[in-house]
Amino acid sequence: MKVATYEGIVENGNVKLPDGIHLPESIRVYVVVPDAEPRRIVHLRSPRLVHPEQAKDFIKEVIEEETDAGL
Amino acid sequence: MPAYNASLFDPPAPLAHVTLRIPDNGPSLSGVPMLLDSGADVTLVQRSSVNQLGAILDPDTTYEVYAFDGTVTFAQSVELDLGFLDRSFTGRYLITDEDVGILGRDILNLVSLVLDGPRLFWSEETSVQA
Repeated sequence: MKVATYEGIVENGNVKLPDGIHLPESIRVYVVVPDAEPRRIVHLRSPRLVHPEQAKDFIKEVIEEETDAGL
Repeated sequence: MPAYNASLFDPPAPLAHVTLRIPDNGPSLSGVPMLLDSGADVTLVQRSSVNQLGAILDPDTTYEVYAFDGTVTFAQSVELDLGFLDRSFTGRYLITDEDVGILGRDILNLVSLVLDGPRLFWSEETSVQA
């Protein structure tokens, strides 16, 4: 497999190649990202109670906490 | 004003840092990150934080919860004080193994918040009309 390497930058989610570089349409490309650490994305899923009547178990007692107004 | 978090969430999400405390003047842990999640029925706190506090989980009760994709799991619970917006919310909380907790509607429905998405800030609404 012949390989050609170009340096580009990512702008708005798209890889922008240097001026004058034109690749054939539909050609397969491979992107190598130097020194990149994968972003750690948290995937929390909005949990719902299977038994909604249990929501009463989670009613909170609310107390206003005193703040140090002078500080 | 508290900022959205763009390093853990994509798109950025409103994150609060709360204080967890064992009721009746027990030890406390501040700076605990919690996602403001109005889609969550109830609040979930991180197991790691609960362990750090030394809080005792309720050994007798588990709760069935399902995610938006229908996945059903069982969650344990614990009695805690949660400090948020100069208030203490005392009661039962579910446990999550995630690194970030979830502030659900059992708490969010007790406060008035403004989510300023374009500027990636959130704050308490202080001029709510009755």
